[in-house]
Amino acid sequence: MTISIILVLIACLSLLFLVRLTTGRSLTPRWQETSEQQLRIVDVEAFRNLIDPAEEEFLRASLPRDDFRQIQRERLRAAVEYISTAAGNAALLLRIGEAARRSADPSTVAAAEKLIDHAIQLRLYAFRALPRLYLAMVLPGTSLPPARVAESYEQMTRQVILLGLRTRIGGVPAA
Amino acid sequence: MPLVSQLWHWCWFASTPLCGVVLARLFVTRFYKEVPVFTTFAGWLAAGSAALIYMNYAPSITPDQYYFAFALVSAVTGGLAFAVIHEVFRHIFEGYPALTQLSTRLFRRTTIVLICIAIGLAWLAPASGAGQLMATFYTLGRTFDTVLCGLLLFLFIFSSSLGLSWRSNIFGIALGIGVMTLGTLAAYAIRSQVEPTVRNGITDVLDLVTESSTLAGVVTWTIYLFAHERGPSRPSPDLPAHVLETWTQELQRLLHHQ
Repeated sequence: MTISIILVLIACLSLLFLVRLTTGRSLTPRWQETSEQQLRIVDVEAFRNLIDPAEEEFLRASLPRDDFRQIQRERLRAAVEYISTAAGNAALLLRIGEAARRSADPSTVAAAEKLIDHAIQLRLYAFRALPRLYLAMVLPGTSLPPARVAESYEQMTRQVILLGLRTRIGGVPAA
Repeated sequence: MPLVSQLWHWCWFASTPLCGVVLARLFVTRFYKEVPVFTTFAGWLAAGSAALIYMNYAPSITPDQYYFAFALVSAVTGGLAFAVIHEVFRHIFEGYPALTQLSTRLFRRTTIVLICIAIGLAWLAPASGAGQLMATFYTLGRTFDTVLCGLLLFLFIFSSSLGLSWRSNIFGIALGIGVMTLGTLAAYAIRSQVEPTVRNGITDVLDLVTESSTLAGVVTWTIYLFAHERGPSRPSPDLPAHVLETWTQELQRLLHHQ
């Protein structure tokens, strides 16, 4: 009977989750939501520096053990903040890309699709990188995620500028 | 007839013609071409439910015949519900080529894990209660519904965590099946353990849970199918000025570093 009660509880919680998902979806039109959200600047170079193994080794060699651990934890916390911000920006650009995909201009559609791909890639990398960063905070010495997030962010930045130029210069109306 | 019993009967009667309305709407809007499996599912629900209502009141039908038909309708409904979830999955990810392989792999793995969990649950909490045959039937139903609910939750969580947009019709279909399956799962989980040989107040309450969640699911489909179709993002594709400015700064910073 215990398992049945657990299943009933899971079903009730899942139902609440669905209700929340539905109300969240219907209250604000997506585009309005997008415009109101702010893109936040991410300093990619600073992020690269935070996850650079050579930098980590240098700090390890230069600082006393306890100081190094404290500083490394703060560096990792900052890296988590950078990745979360980059993933948030990617979600925003994903929506913009989806809107641009409805354009009548094939080159705008192609640019929008590339932007969507980059934004998705970035979010996937972020999902993989975040647990590793948290793990590294708990277990010092754990290998840090590679700089793919930074590379993906750079590609996404180029793509969004390209798309912006296409929609502004081309001026092709939506389909 | 007690009030609870009347209530679940009314829910049952109401969901049957409403399934017909959903089916009609699918054909009128030609949406059936995009969701053929869901159309079959809605048609099957309407036909199966109507047949069961007839058999419930026809004097020539024996209880054994009725229960055989009930089991058949439930089994096919379960199989079709799984196919509908796969159809929803295809619709969500078809617009994202970057995710095709990953999403397919995750969907398969999630299905396998959920099947293992559901079988494990059936082994840990087998059918019990005086009405052994029906308790076994509800245990099977519970096993199947666990997989269905898990897959739906996976779809909702995975797509929302990536920030993917759903077309409103597709979202409505998934939501309706979710509501339906979650109610049935809760009711079947209890019935698999306490099913009596003769109907009583508890079975009426659990039937009310099952039938009201079925009705809620069909009402959800009706609302979404009659509502104006809202695509993933309708407005102009022009990038807002503040977005472009921010990203130009980003690009300048990158170029400066290089």
